[in-house]
Amino acid sequence: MVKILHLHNPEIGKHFEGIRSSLTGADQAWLGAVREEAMTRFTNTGIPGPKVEEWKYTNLGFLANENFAVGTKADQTSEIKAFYDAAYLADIAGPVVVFVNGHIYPALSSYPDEEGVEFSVFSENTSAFRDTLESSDQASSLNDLNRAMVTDGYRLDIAAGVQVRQPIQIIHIVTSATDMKLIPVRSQVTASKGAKARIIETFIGAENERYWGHMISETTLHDAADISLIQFQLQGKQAIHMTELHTTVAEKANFSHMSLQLGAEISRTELINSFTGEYAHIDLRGAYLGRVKQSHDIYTRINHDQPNCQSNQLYRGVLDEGGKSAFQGKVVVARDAQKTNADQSNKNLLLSRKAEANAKPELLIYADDVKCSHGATVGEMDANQLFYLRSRGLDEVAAKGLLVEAFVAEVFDDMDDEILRDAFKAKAAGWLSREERA
Amino acid sequence: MVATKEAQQTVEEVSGEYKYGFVTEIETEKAPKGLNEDVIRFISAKKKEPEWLLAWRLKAYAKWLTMEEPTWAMVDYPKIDFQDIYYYAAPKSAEDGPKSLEDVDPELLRTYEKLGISLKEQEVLSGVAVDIVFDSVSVATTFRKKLKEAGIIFCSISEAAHDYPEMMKKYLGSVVPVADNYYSALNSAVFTDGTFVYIPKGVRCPMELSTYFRINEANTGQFERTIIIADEGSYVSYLEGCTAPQRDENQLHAAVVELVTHDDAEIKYSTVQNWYPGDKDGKGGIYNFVTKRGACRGKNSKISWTQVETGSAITWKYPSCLLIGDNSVGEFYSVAITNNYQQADTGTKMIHIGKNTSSTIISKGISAGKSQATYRGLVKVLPGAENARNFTQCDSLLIGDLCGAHTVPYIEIKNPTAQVEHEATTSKISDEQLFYCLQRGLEVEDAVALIVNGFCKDVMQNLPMEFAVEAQKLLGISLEGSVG
Repeated sequence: MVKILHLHNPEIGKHFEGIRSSLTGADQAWLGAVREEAMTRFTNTGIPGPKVEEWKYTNLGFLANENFAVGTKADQTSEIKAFYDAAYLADIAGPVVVFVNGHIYPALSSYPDEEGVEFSVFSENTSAFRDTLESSDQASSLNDLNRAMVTDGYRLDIAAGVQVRQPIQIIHIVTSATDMKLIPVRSQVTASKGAKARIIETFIGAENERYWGHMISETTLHDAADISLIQFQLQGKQAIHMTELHTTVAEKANFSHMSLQLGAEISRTELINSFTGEYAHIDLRGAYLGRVKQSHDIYTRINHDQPNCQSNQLYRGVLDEGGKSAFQGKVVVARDAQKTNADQSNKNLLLSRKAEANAKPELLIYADDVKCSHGATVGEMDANQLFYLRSRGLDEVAAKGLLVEAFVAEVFDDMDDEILRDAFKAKAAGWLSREERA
Repeated sequence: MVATKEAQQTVEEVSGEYKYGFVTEIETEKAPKGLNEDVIRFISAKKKEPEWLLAWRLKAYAKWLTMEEPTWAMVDYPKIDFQDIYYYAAPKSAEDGPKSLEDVDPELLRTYEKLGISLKEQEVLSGVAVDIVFDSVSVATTFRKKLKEAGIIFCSISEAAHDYPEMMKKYLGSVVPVADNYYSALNSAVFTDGTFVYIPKGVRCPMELSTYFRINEANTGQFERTIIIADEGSYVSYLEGCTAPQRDENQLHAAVVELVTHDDAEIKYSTVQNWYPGDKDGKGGIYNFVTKRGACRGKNSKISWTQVETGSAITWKYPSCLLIGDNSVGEFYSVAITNNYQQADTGTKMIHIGKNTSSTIISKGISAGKSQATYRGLVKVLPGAENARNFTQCDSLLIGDLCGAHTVPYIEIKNPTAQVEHEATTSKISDEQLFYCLQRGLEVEDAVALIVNGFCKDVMQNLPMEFAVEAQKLLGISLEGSVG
């Protein structure tokens, strides 16, 4: 009995052969070689099947039978503007970079322009990405697929000591079209010593379109850097959304990631983090709300390779009719990583008989002087709380809405930026009020 | 910090020596080394088994040949050569079948005396019925008569195959299917002995039933099979203890335990596992690959697993509960202590199928030396399991900076009325606790013993009286040194 671990889709390779000459940077030999090599690796390995432990809760079997075409440049339409308006946080003035179908969209973009901030776009400057594209250690097979097909992306370098004044907004839009599109983009963020920045990334796309958004992010924090990355996932309800973030955090640096998963039929967020210096801090938090065929999968890994570091994880899930979720959080404390402090909390609220929540919080600990804990719960709404609100005159829908809101609010309640906090609240509330209609 | 270093040293010094490492010299009769259909036929013939059981074994063997050794557990060991093991070893004197304690080989009795379970003593004083498995053959079964009066069947599995074939056919492999996993298939093919218990309707077993397992012959695997059936409204508490002599080679132990409870019945299954853990350098020791599972088939039924795992070089064991009947209850209480190069990957599965089912999991892991302890558990609530409840608490204690403690829980919930909570912590013995004890005048090892005992209290208090003393003694041997 040999287990089938990976699935193969020969159409992807064929498509690659067909379009490789028109891919971004096709005239550059090094890039062609990178793409070729990555495609070969992907073809050999294939798409991870449900027998691969990390993919236990998200079955990608269907990908083996679907045909994809890499997203192409879009013309200016009112649809794009509408998505832009929905995603853009106008209250946060500042630079905004827009990608449409995986290609930079200059008409709505204004790049960061600040002393000590270097910003470049892949399609305009492929060589800025050469180093990361050429290093392929530990690349997953889907990372290889992304590498082979990548159409666009951004690179942000912040010089030592520079504190970027305004948050940088990145908006990824997918327009409606008839064919199944693959949107492979990448980002690379480097914060030098003491640099500080906040990036707000929003993914939004056509409601009734099947597309596969795939993003790889590589973030490097040098000593005492401070990066905050916020991701709103508002993809269309038939979309497949995958992000894979690799982050390294050096001495006394501070990395925080906050996400809100509302859209997509299948979403997968992978956060792979490592400490490269002592006294650093990683904070991961997020909320995922799912219903009707939706499946959210959060996979986190924190490698405590250094002593005296701290990591916190806080995830809340709300699953309604047909919604499904998985939280897989792994904390690995290496032998020498004494005085590690790691905690993890995952709570799930099931609102319907057809909802499903899975949790797999893992602790692998090889050092003794550590404080590590995790907690996970799954349950329905507290009947007493509901009764209390009803007795105060709230109708059932309002009472439930309030409780769900309070449940999710824990994730972003102590956020320092009021505008962002309100944006989180408004977006979550939007999802909740849609529920009222149903 | 100095204090903990000392404590750690004490721990290592003490647990290095295995108190039960002696070899009993009795002539044994072995099947030829290795595994093939002939060996299975040999075992079956030796046991004078009915034809259907041999067929069942051969089918299991055919299945086993198609399976692969599982590799997902966090244990690391050289590949087992399944052809380098004796699958059958019986003390020769057993050929005639001792009828009473007087008939039992005195050498054997002395062995048990060294273990502190003198049969005579127990028969007279403690009122515990013991079915001793010496290597593969059940040599003495005490208190059988008294149990028979209550209608209770308590015999070796080979006897059950002769005397109660219908029940055997019905229950053998009904909870742990042959192809459940690699080791259950192996066990199904070659199991040599074990215990069969049936508690009739409405009977509360008047005494604690107990089996003392011992692996004696070098290079023999031990493959017992235990089946316990509690019929409507009955209750039984079953104790299982294991020790094995000291050997340089690794020995394999792959048991299967199946429990069934019908309406309103309860089984309490307690294990103290103290197989030889290997020496200080990780040489030798038992490989313990055990499949234990209970099915709460009836309404309001209950299965409770309590285990104290101190031995074995490798432990791979997940006593589980299938909560099928409405209002059924599953419990898992575990203390796992690893030291030196021991590796333990243990935990439980609670599968909620019926309505209003509840389960509790309390797991305490203590790692010292260069050992690795992993808790791996699954809590699954199926769509039909209304109002399921689960509470899980997994705590790990690390002693020394070369060991590891891991927690790998799986929580899969498909019903919104479920309330599932999981908590886990990992830490070392806190300096404050230790300081407090020391300034009250306790020695370091006393203080560590006290703290570890307190850490395990939730589990230890679930052990039956008869076992609590022994378990505490074992904790002492593993961790506290002469103090315990």
